[in-house]
Amino acid sequence: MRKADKITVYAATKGKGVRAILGEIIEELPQAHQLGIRLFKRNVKALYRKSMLGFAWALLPPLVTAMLWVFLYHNGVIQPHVGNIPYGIFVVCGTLLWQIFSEGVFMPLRVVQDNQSILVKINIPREGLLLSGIYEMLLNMVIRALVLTLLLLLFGGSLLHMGILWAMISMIVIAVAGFSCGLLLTPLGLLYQDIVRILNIGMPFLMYLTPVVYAVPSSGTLGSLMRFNPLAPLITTGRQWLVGIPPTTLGAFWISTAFFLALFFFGLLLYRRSLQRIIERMGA
Amino acid sequence: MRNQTVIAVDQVSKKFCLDLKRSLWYGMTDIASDLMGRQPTPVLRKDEFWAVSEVSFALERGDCLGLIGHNGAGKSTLLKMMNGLIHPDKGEIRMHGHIGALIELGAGFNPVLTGRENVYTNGAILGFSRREIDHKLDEIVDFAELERFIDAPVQGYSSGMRVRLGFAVAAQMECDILLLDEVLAVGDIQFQAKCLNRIGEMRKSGTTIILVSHQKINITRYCNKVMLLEQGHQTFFGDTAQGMARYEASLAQQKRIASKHQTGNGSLNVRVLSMRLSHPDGWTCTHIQSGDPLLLMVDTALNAQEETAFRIEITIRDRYAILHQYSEDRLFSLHPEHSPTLTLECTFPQIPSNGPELYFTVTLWNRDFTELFDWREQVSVKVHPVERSTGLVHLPVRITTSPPPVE
Repeated sequence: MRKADKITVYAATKGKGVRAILGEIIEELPQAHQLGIRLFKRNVKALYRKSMLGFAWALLPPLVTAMLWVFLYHNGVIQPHVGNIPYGIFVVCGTLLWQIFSEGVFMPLRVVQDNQSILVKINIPREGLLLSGIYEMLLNMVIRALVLTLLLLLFGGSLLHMGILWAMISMIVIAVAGFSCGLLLTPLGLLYQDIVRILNIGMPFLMYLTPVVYAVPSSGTLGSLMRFNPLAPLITTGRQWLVGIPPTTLGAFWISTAFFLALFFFGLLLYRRSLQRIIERMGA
Repeated sequence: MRNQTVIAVDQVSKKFCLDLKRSLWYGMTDIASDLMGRQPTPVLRKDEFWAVSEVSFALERGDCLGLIGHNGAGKSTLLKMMNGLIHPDKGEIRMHGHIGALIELGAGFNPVLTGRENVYTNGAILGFSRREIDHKLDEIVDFAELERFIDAPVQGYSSGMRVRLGFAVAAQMECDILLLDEVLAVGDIQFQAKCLNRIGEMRKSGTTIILVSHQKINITRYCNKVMLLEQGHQTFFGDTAQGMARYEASLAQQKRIASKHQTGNGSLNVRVLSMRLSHPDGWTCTHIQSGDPLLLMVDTALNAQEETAFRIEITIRDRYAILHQYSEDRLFSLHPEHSPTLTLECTFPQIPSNGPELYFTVTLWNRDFTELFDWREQVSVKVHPVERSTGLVHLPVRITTSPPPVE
């Protein structure tokens, strides 16, 4: 780790260009990974040691939500139009995919806040914090995918269709979508606590504007709102792939994917550029 | 290696905002102007001030610089800038070589994980790879003297053990430039000695060190240069002895200003006009020998319009604790016409304190302690200790033997 001829310069100059920032991020990536994987291991171990249910927490919230909706459905309280997928499977797939998104939204802000005391005292590769969050999401995704597979088998579905592979990809896209949204909100959320509060109120709301527990209505205000919701094709298509029926909104899916990838890229630049300024305002 | 400039700090300034709400807003606008590729203006906005202003210095390989100054003078801000945590608003810092910082010990420790697991986390935060830690683990455990507890969760550690483990990991850093912030003052003496030796080793191997410490002894012992910061301005840079003298002078001046402004505390119906210490024979003294007698003279004056009785409470403390606190039962009386002033001569036949300095505080109360008239801090006297006596006080002792020594 010792480089004798390394020169470090800190100066009051205007910010670097996009290419320079990307170059820095890539250059620091190995160290960031080293830190990220270590923090990830720390968090997982600590969670496991201080919890009886451990990894089950990756599953419980969406499953409970799903059960509630299935209960309402079977008692005739709601009669959503979901096409030819059994409602139980429809809801479980929907809530699990939604959970991936929602976790992603909160993740960047959470990891930075959790490690704030380190951030203001020690010069660490700051993308390492994001990576630790990403690794945690990957682990949770694997657990969810395994359980989902089990459930699909139980409900008599077949796994022998190419859709499953595509479904994995859709999960990753959904995770990226959530993470990008969170990343964009991180600078503001670190300065002002209002952001987390707004998210706490807004996320359930957003869920009902997304076809999670019911399909996109073909008409009405909700229907047209959902048509402009970039999350809608991700959830719908992901679910269709999971249960093995041909996707109906494939074009929209790829447009959304491109949109969120661009957002991710922009969020990363924003994080890199703004964190310096935020640390100044955090205090020790 | 030949002498070369390792650190060059050129006209560095940093501003801070006093108001939190506004500070957050400025943070937002700074981010916005960063994103638009504009350089933020280096002028002060409302509620801002220069926490560090136009600081310049250069250090060569092997130099050890002590940063001194009052609280809030900008020492930590400067150190944070050198560590890259915050960027200067004006000027430039240029450093050659690998930079290490010992500012926070045990960063990232999770209480439920074992000492061993936390060593890996803390190491990663300090920039060590997994392999490096594998390699150094034995040395770390050995240095921290925690062989028995390394696989126990850190939440069961005493604070001293935690600090030891933190330092042991940090001590593995190899760097050309080391930034140190007051972390020397941790652990017991034995461990402190170890830390000091480790830092000494680094100095010998040519590491350039910047040290922030309030302990004079650490600065004079280690630093060959000091920089005095006063309200963000660099008022001295150079030789250690000279710099420390400047610092002491500025400390004394600050104290003098503070005491000049002091007019008394309390209702002031009865006031302490002045306090002084003297030998019982009458000459004023600033030094005594442990065991000497001492006379405290307190001049009081009446402020109220009617006759007032008061009692006096005298507190004597040294640097560590209160040695004496006693309120006299006797009441003293002041009358607006017959006796508006009164001098109390309080004689202590013997001061057993072993030094190095005693502070006298006087409080004037009414009869039943329901009104505090005046509370005056403080006059001090230096005490020369009795030779070979190291306790807080020296009590005269007579030693006989039984059976008595044979003549």
